[in-house]
Amino acid sequence: MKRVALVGMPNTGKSTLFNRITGGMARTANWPGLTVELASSRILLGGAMVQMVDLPGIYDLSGGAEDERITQEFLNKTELDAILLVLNATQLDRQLVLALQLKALGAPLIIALNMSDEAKQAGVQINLEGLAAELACPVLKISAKHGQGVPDLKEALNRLISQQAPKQISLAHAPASNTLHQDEARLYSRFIQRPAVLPPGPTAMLDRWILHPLLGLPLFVLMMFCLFQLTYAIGVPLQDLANEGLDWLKADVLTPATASWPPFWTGFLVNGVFDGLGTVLTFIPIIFLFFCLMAIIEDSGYFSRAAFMMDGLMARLGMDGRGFVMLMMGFGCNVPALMGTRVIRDRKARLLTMLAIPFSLCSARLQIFLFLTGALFSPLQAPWVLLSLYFASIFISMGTALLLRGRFKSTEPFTLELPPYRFPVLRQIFLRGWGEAAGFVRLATTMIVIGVVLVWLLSNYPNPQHSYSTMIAGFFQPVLSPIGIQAELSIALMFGFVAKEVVLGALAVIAGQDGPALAHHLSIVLDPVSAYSFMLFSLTYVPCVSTIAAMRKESNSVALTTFSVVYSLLLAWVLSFIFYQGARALGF
Amino acid sequence: MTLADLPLNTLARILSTQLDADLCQRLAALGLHVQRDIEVIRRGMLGGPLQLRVGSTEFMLRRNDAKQIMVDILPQADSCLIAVAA
Repeated sequence: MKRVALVGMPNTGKSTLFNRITGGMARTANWPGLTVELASSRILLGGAMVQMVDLPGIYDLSGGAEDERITQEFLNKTELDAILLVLNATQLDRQLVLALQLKALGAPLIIALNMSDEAKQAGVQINLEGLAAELACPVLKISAKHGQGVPDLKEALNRLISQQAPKQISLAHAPASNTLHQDEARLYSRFIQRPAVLPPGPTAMLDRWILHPLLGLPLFVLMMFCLFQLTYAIGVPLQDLANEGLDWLKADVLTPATASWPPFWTGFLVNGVFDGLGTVLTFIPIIFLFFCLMAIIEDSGYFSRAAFMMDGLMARLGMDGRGFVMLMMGFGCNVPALMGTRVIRDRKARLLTMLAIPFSLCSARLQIFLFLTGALFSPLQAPWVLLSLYFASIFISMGTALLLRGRFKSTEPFTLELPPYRFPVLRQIFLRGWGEAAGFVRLATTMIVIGVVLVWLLSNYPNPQHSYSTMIAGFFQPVLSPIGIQAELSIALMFGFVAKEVVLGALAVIAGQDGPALAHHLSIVLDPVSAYSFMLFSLTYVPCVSTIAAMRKESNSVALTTFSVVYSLLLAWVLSFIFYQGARALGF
Repeated sequence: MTLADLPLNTLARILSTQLDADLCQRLAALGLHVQRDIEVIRRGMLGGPLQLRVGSTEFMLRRNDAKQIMVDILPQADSCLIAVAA
C-alpha cells in the first residue's frame, strides 16, 4: 500500500488538513520502532488505497530538540511515496526552510500552502509557479479550515504517487537550517510580496485586553470558571442520565439475569465489573465536553496567551505557563488535565506537571468538602474553610513541583508561538473531544475495572460483616488515629480510592444514615479539627483509580505512577498529622 | 544592547545570539536568527516572558534567554513597519 506522511511546523493547521483529507476517521496506533502513537488513516486516492500518516509538528529536520525526534525517526525509517509538506502561507519567511531541506534530500515532495485565505487577507501575494519551479515540486494554495483547494491537492498528490516509486530519505544528510537562511530569504523576496505597512490587526487589539497587566488575570480566571461551569452544566446531566441508565440496567436486567449464579460470580460481575464499566462510562461525557472546550481554547489562540501570562510565576517552580493552565483544569477533573499535559512536549517537564495535578481540588472532592463543611462548621465559617482547602490544594501542587523540580529539569527550548486569534472549526472541536474520550476508554478501562473489582472483593470477603477492608482499616488504625481518622472513616477513604464521589455514599452505608441524618451523625463523631484533618487527607491522597489509570496511560511509566500514589499517601498523612497534632497541641 | 533591554515596539536588527544549541535552533525556526529584524511587543507580568515579533510570527521568550541576544536599534525604527530581512 502506498504511504504518505504529513509534515509541517506546529501551528500550520496540519492536523486540520489531515482530518479534511481523511474525513476525520483517524486511528491512533503504535508504529513499529516508535514508542509513541501516530494518527493514520487509509483513504481511497485515484482508485488505490493510500495510508496517510499525520506526524507531530517539527521545526527542523536536522538536529533539533527531543520533541522533534519522533518525526525525524519516522522519516528515517519509513519508505514513503510522498511527503506532503504543510506550510503556513502567512509565515513563509521562516517556513520555506523545511521545503529547502526536504528538496536537498531528494524527498518525493508536494507542498500545501495552508491558511491561504488568511494570507490573502493580509495582502500577501505568492507566485506559486515560481516557487514550484524553484523547489521542483508541486506547490498548491489551500485552506484546510474551509476546504478550498483540497480536491486539487488530492489530485496532485495522486499524480505524484502514481508517477514514482517510494523512497526513503536519510535525515543524516539534511543540510543544517542555518546554512539555508540566505536561500530562504532569496526565495521569499523573489516569489512573495507582502505590504510593508500593516495596520494593527484584530489580534493586536484583542491582546491589549487579554494580556492586560491588570485585567488579563481576572479574565483568565473568568474564562476557566466558564469552562468548568459549561463542562458541568452540560456534563453533569449527561452523567446523571448515564447513571440512571446504568442503575436501571443493573436492577432490572443484570441482577435478575444473574440471580441463579453462585453469589461470588453475581457479585463479581454486577458489583465489580459492571460498576467498574459504569465508572468509565460516567467519565466519558465530562472528558468529551472538556476536550471540546479545550480545543476551542487551544485553537482560538488563547491557550498560549494564558501560558504567557502565568509563565513568570511558573518558571520559578520549574514548570512553565502551560503547566499552570493544566493545574487550573485539574480543578474540574484531574483526568482530562493529566491527558491535556500532552501540550507540554518535553517529557520531564510534562511528568513534573503530571505529579502536581492530582493535588488540584477536583469537583468530586468538592462534593465531600461541601457536605462536611456544611455539617461541621457554621454557615459563617464554612466558606472560609472551603477556601482554605483551595489554597491548600494550590500550595501542595506548587510545593510538589518546587520539591521535585530538580529531578525533572526540562530540556525543552522554551518558547511558544502566539498565533493570531482564530475562530475554531466546529468539526475539529468535535473530533478532538471524540478522540480523547475514545482514547480514555481504550486505555483506562482495564485498570479502572480492576480497581473497582478489587474494592468490591476487599469489602465483601471473607464476609461483609468482617471483610478485608475492615481488617485493613483495623490494621491501619494505629497509623490513622494520630491524625484523627476513626475506623469507619478510614473505610470510606478506601472507597474513595475508586472515586471521590463514592466517599459520601460509603459513609452513608457505614453509618446507616443518609443526608441530614448523616450530617448530624458526623457532627457527633467528628469535631472541626478531626473533620478538617479528614478533608486534608482526602484532598491529598490518591484522587481516584481513574486518575491513576490516566497517569499510567499518559506517562507510560509504572514507576512514576507508583511514586505518585505512594508520595501522595505519605504526604497526606504527614500534612494531616501536622495539622491534627498541631491543632490539638494548641488546645483546639 | 540586549533584546531584554529593547524598548517596546521598536524595530531592531539581531546581531548575535548566545544560547544553547536547542533553543537557538528553535528560535531560528521561529524566524529569530542573525540579520533579521525583531520587535518586543509586550513584557509579561511578574518578570514573565517577552512577546516578540519577527516577520509575521509572534512568540514568547523568557527574559533570561532574551539577555543572551544582542540587537541594534534600526535607524528609522517604526512600529508599523514590518520589514522582512532580505
